[in-house]
Amino acid sequence: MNANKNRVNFGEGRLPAMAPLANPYVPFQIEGPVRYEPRKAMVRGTLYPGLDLPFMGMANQNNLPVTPLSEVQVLAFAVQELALYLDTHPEDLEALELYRQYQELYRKCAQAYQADRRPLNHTTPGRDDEYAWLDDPWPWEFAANKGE
Amino acid sequence: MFQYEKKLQYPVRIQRPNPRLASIIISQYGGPDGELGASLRYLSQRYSMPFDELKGLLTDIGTEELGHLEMIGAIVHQLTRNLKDNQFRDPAFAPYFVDHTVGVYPAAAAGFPWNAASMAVKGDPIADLTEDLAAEQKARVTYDNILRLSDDPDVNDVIRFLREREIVHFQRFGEGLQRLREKLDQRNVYFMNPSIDL
Repeated sequence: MNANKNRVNFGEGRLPAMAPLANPYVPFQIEGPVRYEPRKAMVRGTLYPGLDLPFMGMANQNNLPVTPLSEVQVLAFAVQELALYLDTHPEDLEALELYRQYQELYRKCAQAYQADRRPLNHTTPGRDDEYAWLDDPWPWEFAANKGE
Repeated sequence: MFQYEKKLQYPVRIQRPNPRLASIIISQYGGPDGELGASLRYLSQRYSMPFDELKGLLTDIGTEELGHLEMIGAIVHQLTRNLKDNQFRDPAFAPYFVDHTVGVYPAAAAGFPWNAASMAVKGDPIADLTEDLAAEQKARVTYDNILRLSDDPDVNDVIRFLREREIVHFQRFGEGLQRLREKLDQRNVYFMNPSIDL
């Protein structure tokens, strides 16, 4: 085991000094934890190195296709990770500020993506006379994910 | 309400069809520790949760699990696309094929259909959140086992992402439980059921 790799995970959790018995405890993630940049977060499956605990050292490398869709996915993922963090850390104002910044980046990125006849949902304003919602490929199809 | 977003949470791009592997992966669609059970468990437990942060946490994680259900469906779909006759006859896939062709049906790898008995809604927040901690661990181990069984790099890339999400969700449920406990009687957190006695 690589001691360096595990170092970040040490000391990022807080446990109460005294606590009721007969209860399960998960250490509370400290405020202001170390974070990955958003593309790496998406590749690793978490924004937080302290929670990045791969099976048998098999970690994903940065091989995401760089496409307009993956840009949207990366920013949506950063927003999701911050949302889950804020659900249990609503008092962390630095995280709240970052959440707002990523929301704004997501909004712009999704807008640009959708302007190219790729609506993400039915509330996307159409730009032409065609009903683009039905256009192939759908998300579960290989062609939607293979990169460009 | 729920509104469909026409994108996956994380890309699924499986180059090589492999029906044998699909018949294993299907367990995370409709098996005992799969994503269908995960999403229904959390989205159903919300209603009896007493505090804002717990309602929010179950809503957000339950919604993400629906996205994971879709990703597993995408893996199974792509592993079974453009199959040749001899691939339908693979003894690992034929029992699934005879009932579902290449449709995606919520069943365990062993063949039994999805069952609500694989999840619980107890209606007590400590019990439900403790169930959720265990559920995330069981899903993590299922992904560990898939990584042991699969040597397809395109599948494993997605499985490692999904496995990591289980760890993050475990952390958040544990924190949710701590926030709940802080609101209860410190001398006896089991004094009453906050779902009905507050």
